[in-house]
Amino acid sequence: MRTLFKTALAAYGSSILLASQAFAVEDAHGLVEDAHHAAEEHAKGGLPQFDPTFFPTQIFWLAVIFGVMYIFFARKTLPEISSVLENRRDHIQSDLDTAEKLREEAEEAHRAYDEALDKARTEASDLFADVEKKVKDKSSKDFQAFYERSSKEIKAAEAEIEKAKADAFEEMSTIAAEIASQAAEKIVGISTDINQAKTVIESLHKNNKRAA
Amino acid sequence: MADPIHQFVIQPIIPFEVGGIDLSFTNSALWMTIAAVTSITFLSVSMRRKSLVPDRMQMSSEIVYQFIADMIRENIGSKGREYFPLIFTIFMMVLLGNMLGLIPYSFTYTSHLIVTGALALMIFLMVMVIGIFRHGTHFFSLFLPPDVPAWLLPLIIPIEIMSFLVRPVTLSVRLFANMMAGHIMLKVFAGFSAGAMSLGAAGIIAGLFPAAFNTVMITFELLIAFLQAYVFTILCCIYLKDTIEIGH
Repeated sequence: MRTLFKTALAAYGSSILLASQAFAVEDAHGLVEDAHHAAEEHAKGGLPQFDPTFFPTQIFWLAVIFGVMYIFFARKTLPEISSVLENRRDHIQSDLDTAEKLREEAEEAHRAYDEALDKARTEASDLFADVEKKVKDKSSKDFQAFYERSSKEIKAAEAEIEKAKADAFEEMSTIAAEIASQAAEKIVGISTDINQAKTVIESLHKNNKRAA
Repeated sequence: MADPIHQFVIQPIIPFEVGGIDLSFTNSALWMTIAAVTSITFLSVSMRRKSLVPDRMQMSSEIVYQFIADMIRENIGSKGREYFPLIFTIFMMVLLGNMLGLIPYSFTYTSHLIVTGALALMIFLMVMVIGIFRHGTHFFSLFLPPDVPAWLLPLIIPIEIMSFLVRPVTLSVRLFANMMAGHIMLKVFAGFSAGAMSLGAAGIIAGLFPAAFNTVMITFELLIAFLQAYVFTILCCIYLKDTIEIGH
């Protein structure tokens, strides 16, 4: 296309060159005639532009042709071009508007997404905190319960031990009294009252305890 | 030497008279018709598809449209839209007259003072009539520049009136003289070439120099043809501005 254009341009240029020379050559041939013509014109008073013979026809045809061009341009060409340009401007404007709208929508979506993400994040951290608290509560409650139960059991066990200890002492003092009375009987040969012995031992025991 | 003035001679093609006035269809009228047909055909053909994405032809029509639209907006203002068809027609008429005139053997109607004068006078009368019709006596404040000391007024007002009256003269003579001078120069140099070439072998070599010069000149003349059409049109805009608002 471009080469074609260049070729055409070159051809046009050279044709102008050739034609202008041909023009001149032709004029050179018609020299005599021209000279005659020129003489005639000079006789009339110089330039053909100042020859009033053809003023009316020039003005007349200028008016006619100018009028035709004016009417044609005003009625057809200019409204046509202006409507095309306006159409294009509208089209571009509407495209721009659509783009703007889409951009706003995209921004809206982005904002909504951000919001949702934020919400989800808060919810997740809330949930996490909640679960953590529950677990903590449960474990502390369990611990408390275990502590209470175990301390109760320990107390019960201690009480039992205490009782067993008391029982053992009781038995031991009985046995000691029996042994003491039997020993007294064997060694001294006197019979003793077992209950008296018991009382003695118990008092001894109490004294012991007091001393301790 | 060929007569460089011969190219400006009017030749009747279809002679006729109306009421004793010669209204022959001449070579001048023929080239005006060619200009009208060329511009109308080009603008119609290039806009036939009215596509949203223009091709080269449509683009060039739109560029001309935009060119004139911008010129009017910048020089007259947004109210100047009412003159758009007029300015556009003037521009096309003058541009095509200048451009077509560069085709060898053609006729340059814009090299005739009566044609450029008629166009300039039309603008001048329009400015006068529309200006007085719209602004009334306020129109004459055109000759009274603001912030001028009172003692200068007797000097300024005649100068302003003179410069107003001389507008159609300068407007038409500028275009006519440019076109005529360019065409005479081209013709003179072409004449040198032709003259030298008729002298034999050495003359053919010598004759190439004026031809080369003419090749450069015709490019320059293309620029002048466009530039003068532009200047003529922009001055019409500036003059027509006075019908919209009187501003100094």
